[in-house]
Amino acid sequence: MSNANAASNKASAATTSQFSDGSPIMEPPLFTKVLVANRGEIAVRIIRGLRDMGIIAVALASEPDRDAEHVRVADEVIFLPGRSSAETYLQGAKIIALAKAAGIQAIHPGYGFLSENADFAQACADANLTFIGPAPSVMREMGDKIRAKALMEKAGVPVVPGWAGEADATIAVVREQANRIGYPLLVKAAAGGGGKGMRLVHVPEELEAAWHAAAREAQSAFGDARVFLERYITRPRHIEFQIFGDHYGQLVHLFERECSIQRRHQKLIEEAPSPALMQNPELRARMGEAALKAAKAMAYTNAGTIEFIVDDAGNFYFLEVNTRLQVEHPITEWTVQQDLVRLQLLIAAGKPLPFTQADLQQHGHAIECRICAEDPAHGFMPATGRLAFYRPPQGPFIRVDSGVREGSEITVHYDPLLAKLIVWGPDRTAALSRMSRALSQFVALGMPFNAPFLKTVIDHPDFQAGNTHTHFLAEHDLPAKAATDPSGQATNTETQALLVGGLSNAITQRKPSTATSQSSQREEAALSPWNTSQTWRAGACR
Amino acid sequence: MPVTHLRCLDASGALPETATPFRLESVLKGDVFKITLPEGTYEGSLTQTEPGTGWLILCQGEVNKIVPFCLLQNGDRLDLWVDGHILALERLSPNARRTGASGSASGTHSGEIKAPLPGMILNVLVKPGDTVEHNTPLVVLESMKMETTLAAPMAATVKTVSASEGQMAEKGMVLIQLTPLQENAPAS
Repeated sequence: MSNANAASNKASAATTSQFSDGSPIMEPPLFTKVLVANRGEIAVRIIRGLRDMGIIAVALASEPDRDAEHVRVADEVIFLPGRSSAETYLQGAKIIALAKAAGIQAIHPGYGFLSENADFAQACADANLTFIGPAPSVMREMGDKIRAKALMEKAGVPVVPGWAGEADATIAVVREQANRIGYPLLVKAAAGGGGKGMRLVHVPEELEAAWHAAAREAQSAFGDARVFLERYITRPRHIEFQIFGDHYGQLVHLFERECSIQRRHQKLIEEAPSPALMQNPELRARMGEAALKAAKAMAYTNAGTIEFIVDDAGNFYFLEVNTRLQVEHPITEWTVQQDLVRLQLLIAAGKPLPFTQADLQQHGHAIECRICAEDPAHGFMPATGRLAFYRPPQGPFIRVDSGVREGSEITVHYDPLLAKLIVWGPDRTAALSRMSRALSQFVALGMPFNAPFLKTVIDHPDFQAGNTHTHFLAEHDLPAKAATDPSGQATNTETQALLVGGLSNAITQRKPSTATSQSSQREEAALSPWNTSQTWRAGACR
Repeated sequence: MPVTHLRCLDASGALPETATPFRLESVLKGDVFKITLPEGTYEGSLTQTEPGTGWLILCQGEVNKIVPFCLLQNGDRLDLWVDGHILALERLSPNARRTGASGSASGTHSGEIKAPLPGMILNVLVKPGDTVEHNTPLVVLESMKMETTLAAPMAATVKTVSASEGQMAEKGMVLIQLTPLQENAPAS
């Protein structure tokens, strides 16, 4: 059925459209079959987008993922032997060979895994497969933070004051440069990411040890010991701009996302527009212009993100370019009313961007929360297990991009992101209120999960006021405060615990005699906590 | 933690005296029970849609309050989701089976630092004989693309270190053994 759909779609895609003067353009045909070289919620989302366009969507599945949600929603699947990421989703050469054999024309890499691997993008091109993303040369250049920063500085994009470092620089030279920049400062790895190879230096005495430690860590993590210095911006907001470029030199930005709420250097809550820029449209205009300058300097094609940090005084600085679709892309989709995966496909197929900058504006407010199998009360420790109950919330302007379903196993092999919960409202207040309701109705049991914690953040007066920065959670002592506060929230939880005590008893009493045998019923009753007078304690160890 | 213990209720609804201001007056064998919360006394009824999930209706005058719930029992653990709140409860009976019980049967806190989830040991930060404070990082574990730091649950001396860097750890594997500096360590 999908085959037939796709074939007819291909036929219609190859028909002519017209320039404004009436002359025909032969539009290049779209792909008929595309591989999604990823897993989890992003694979599900991309597969849905492909099928929406009548394209045959092929999933990729490691051994633990044979029954995964992203396989269930696809048209076809390619199985990969092995369990770990290194044996499966990172096997570029193997994936390309299997894709060729299956008659696939293009590969969407999603985020993570091979998405920012320039060698993989090049290998796709060499195999006559379209890599849905920017040119390999751009990926390579932006993957090197020192080179990326130098390019942006040259293009007139503000960068964090710093020093690019030198091979074999003596510590005296490093010290001189550090004094010029001023303290506190950061030592960062050229190939860095996720906080690895990064050191915060408060005083000159710490510099030498930090410089060497960062270089060692960068060498072991990335095989590249180059490090550089950067002024440390205290309490910055993380604000990024979505960009798109086609193969005809057209470049647009799709406005900003603020992603200041982070833990472990990873984003947890994102929103568009940014509360800071809502109060300062002039700053938004300047940042948008800088994002386009950056895109132009790279001759960027397809989807990308220019990340900035913004300080208290409203100064903004280029941080890095992400040469892929972002986790948080749905909030942009909602506020600019565009399907970003569809745009990626059109551009990769050689079609022009279907709009100009002037056609774009932001509508209302969208917020995304990352729903993870992790325990906020214990250092956000990721958790594994079987999702015995999984009931995402529903309702108007609520979107749940899940990579799992009830009964899914969360394994140690992959990251703990279960789903993204995205809501929209006509304004920020309405969106916040809707998110709070949706989080309170998100049920997942079988392992710790963070929806109740996310709700405390969303309901926090300073978050409600838009006073966000990247140290928000630490500065507000979240979640520790929620766990130890003897009043308020905690008391409410206690009430709930007692309520459950009562109702569970009732459930046990009322257990229907159908379906279960007498003996298993007796066994269950014996195990039931409510049939004994034992004491239970909250906050069980995991 | 605010909920230090939770006494389970028998059919008579008997609840031992606790410091909490809440009292469940009676639990009837049937649809209706009575519950007293800080804001008042409710009559409750229960709707169970499938095992372990459903909702309570709490009535006070003309007001009918709805409280959805899900509960999942797994051995000595009970996970509850009630109206947007999550509680993890653990059986406290001294005879209770410990999950993943190994041979060690010493005291309330054995001082064993176990891998909370499977993963690779990135760093071992202590050696036998070291004295550690409460919250001193001991081991860094990489799992699910994240680094997890295991810290000392109390002031202690390091007795043994069985973890080595680069090694794969199974869930529940003992990585480090601590000897608490003072007696009377908090139960697990």
